[in-house]
Amino acid sequence: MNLGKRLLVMLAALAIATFFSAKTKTLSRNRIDENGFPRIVLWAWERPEDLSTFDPQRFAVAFLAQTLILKGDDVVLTPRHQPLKVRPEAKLIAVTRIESQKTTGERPALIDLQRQKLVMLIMRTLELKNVSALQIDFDAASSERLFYRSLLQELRQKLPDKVPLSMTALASFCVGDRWLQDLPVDEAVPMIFRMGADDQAIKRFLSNREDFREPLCQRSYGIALDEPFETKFDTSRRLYIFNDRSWITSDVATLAERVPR
Amino acid sequence: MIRRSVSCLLAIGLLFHSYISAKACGPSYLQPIFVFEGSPDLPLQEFAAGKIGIVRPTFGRKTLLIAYRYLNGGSFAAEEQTALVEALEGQAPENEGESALKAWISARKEYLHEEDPPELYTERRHQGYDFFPNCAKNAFEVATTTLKDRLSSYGASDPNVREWMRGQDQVFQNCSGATEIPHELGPEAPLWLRQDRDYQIAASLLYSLQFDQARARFEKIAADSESHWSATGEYLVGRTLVRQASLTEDEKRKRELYADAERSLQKLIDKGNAFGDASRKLMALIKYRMHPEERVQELADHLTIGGISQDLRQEVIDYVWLLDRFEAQILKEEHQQKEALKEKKPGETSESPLQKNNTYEAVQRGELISIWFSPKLADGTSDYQNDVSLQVKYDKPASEIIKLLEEKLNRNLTLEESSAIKEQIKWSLESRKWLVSQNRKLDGVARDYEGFCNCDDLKLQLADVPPFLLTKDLTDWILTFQNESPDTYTRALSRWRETESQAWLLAALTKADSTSPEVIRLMRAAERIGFDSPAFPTIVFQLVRLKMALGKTVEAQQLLDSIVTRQFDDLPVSAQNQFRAQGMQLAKNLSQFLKSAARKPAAFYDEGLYRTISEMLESRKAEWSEEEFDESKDEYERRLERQYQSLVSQDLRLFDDRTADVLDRHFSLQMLNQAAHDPNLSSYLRRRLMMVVWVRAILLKNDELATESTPGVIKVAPEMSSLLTQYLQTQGPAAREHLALYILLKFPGLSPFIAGSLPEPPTAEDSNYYLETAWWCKPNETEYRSGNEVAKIVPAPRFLEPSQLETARREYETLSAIGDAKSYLGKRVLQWAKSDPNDPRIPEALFIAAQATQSYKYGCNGWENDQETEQEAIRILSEQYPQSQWTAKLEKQEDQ
Repeated sequence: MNLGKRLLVMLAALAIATFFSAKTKTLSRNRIDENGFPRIVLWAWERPEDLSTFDPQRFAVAFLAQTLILKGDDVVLTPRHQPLKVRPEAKLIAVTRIESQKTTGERPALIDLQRQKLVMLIMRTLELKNVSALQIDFDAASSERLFYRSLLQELRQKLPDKVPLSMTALASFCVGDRWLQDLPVDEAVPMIFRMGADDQAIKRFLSNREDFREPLCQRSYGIALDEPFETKFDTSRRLYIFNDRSWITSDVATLAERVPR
Repeated sequence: MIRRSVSCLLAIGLLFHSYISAKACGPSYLQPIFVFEGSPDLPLQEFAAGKIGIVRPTFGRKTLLIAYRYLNGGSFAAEEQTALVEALEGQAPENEGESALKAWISARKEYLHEEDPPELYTERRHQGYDFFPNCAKNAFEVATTTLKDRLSSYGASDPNVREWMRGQDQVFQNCSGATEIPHELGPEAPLWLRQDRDYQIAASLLYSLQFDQARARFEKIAADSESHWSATGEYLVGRTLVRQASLTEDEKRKRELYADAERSLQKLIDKGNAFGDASRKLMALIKYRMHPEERVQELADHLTIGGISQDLRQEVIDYVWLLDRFEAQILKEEHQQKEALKEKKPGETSESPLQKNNTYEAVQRGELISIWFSPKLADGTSDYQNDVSLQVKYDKPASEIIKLLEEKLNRNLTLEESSAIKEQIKWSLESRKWLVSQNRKLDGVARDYEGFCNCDDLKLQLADVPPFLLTKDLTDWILTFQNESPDTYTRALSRWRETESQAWLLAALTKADSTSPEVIRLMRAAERIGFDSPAFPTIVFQLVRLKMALGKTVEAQQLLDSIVTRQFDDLPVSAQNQFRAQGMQLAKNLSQFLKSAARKPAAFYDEGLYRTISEMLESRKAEWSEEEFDESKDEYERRLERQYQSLVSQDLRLFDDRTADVLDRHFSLQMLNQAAHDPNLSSYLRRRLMMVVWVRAILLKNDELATESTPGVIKVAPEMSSLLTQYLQTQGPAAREHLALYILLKFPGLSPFIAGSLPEPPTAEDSNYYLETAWWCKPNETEYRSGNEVAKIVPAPRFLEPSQLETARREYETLSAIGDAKSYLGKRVLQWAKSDPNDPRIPEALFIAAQATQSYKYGCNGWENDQETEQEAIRILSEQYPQSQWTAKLEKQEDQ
């Protein structure tokens, strides 16, 4: 092969390599790790929760701080009503659940004012005691994704640099969906429980040692305490655990059995 | 977090395992509900008005207490029925203030002409992370009324009104967290303003949780007979006490405050002034919290007798919550006893193997502390995979702990790591202090409701219910009726004998089986119940059930006929369908079977709501957006209307899943064809059956029946008429076979099985060749019962002959062996393309085959697909028909 041709081949190879390296995402920083969060995070939902006996060195707590409902052109705030007890040194993530009204005539308008109000209300949860990270839980429909993206962008801009921003994600988003790409979050937690119609497909997918395709989803798992899950966890990832009732101290033993080290 | 299935999906281009591209939404599922198991049919107003239908033990307690009154000959007045519906709908009271708040903001904006009024939140943080409703709706209602009154009396330009407004803004700032107290006014201010200001100050103190001061202020206002707010102040003394008590943790102090509140409120009730009703409501709250045993008995009386309830909605809620609370208490105690009594083998402790091994309990007792160590990776993050843990005696010196760690790690710790371990020891010792302290709570904090128990394995036993609860007939009846254990029949029977009430007769009959003691006597008594009794539908249902179990099918049929001919259409749809299910079991011939098999849906479950088809269609139409859909809004709506047209009809009847299984498995092709021509069939079902017959005939290679049934399909499915007419005119088996295949490809709603998605999938073209739920999947031979996957059992109708059943069985096996339609049709297309490459329909068929066999999220087996067929279809299309529009279309799909 002459030099010219060789050069052409090398250039082509370089172009292909560049193409694929561009395709291979470089992961953004993970503020949750930077903030020294423990590997296991317990989701504390809208129930009376006493987590004061859970070792804060081992367990962080992501608690439902509020639910924001998008209704027409308004945002309806429902703050947490059930008590939550945690150790003073526990690492806390304030979770905001966003829902959109499905009733005809009250469907969300998804306007700028709504987005701004959401940002303001979500930022307020940082003022709660010992909260050092935020998480958004929003099962956004396709028509809502643009709105959600701009919400996360605005939120990230307004948050102090060191404050982590996490989101939950339907497991199916993490497998074959593009819309999570480049979202300004530190992680997208794939919820591998209560998956409904997705259940068998996702579990089979993971059992075959396939990984979530979206890199943001490769930092954590979301599982439920009461759902058996036969797969090989990547033990370097953070684990969020959902409980369908209030946490009790003997759940620690269950966790020790269920959660791989 | 309640998970919702995602209704809007993206297509996956699997060729390059690339990410999915944005496309229009896929179809969403409609789930018809034929019987409401846990609650009344919608609308709830009908149940509240006495249309109680078939009363089931699976109903909730609120529903049952309503049924109880009607069963015992009572009723509810119109306004009571409204209250009952509100109780059944269960909207949280803190959601009720929205309109009052909006009205206030609107009135304020109108007065002040402010473009951006300040944000107002009605809930205030309690102690840590929870909030409570601080400013209720009447606060805003009173403020709005007062503002309008002051404006009307003194005018918008009056500076005193402006001062009033300033004060009121400060009041409401306290709703969500501030401590803003309006300043006192001097004697130069007009009297009305000074009096209003006194009230605003007191309210601000209340909302900023300065209760003692608030109370003192309200007492002063109450004592001022000249003040407009005097009566209000008197009431608010009691209300402040209640608020203070509810936010006080100390139990003794809480009781004292509630007792003070009771005295204060009782005075008002005795006075009989404007705040009598409001005071009674607060008293009810105090009783709920402080005297639950007395209160539950009092409520049982109110709800039984009627005409006594002051606030029926709240009383229904409180009564049911109290029952739930008592139940939770009983179960918790039982659970704790069970744990304590766990059988021990000699030499063993009561610890689980896990607890013995990991010394968890020793840590909890404070004997040991836990030390965890995560080494750091090069980038400074923790290396969780190589975590090390130690449990050591709490008084072990730090130096020894470090030594133990180093032995485990097989290296020395760095200075920094040692420092981190010492810090951890410090925290672990702090943690130990907490674990051994008196104030530690173990099992969660309970609040007002307290109707939960982490006792999944336990069910309430009547023997464990405190006897006092069962002294009230209503409570006794609800707890007995709901309880599944066999001994509750004896109790129900005994109570019926004592009371002769219809409620207990119904309960005993529901629990009876054919071998229950005195069942015949029970049945005879039940047969005397008149058709105008609210109990009649339930009585008939249970009698039919028992007569069938006793082999008295003729009598069962006669009973069933009595209700069908008399009052069937007046019954709730759930009741109608339960009777139809019985009719199906008793059917002696096909016609009778079909009459009972066709069911009217009670509702459709859609996006978490129970809806009618019209409501659902409107909701779907509202989903259109320019970014999301390729079609215009008009095109989209027209497509939806076409798709749902057959479901909107008033005479809509469907087969439920059980019935569909019976038809699919036990009805031969000939029987199905006969069924399709039954004169009583609804239009939707006739269409469905005709299409099933045609497809089965094709797949079972019954050419004669395929031809014979085609005109019938043309009639019910005019959109297929062009191709079906061609089919009738086509000669030769190969040509007919290919045309039949082509028709199947063009109409993804076609299936040999009755069960199918709702609505029927549109044509391949209309769906833009997104074929996720097209055609059929291999039928399931298992189902879930009590959480376990078991073999499916589908009883055959008794009127079918063994030979008919045998034919049906063979045919079903053949159809089942075909497997999932997409792969089957795809392979047939490949064969067709190879045998007849010049057929002009081939490119389109290959395109559809490729689209069908791609991977879909909700395909028959999740994302699994017949890749081989897919790739072969694409290859043949691209290589052999490069100029075809279908090849271009395929390339366009891949680019997206």
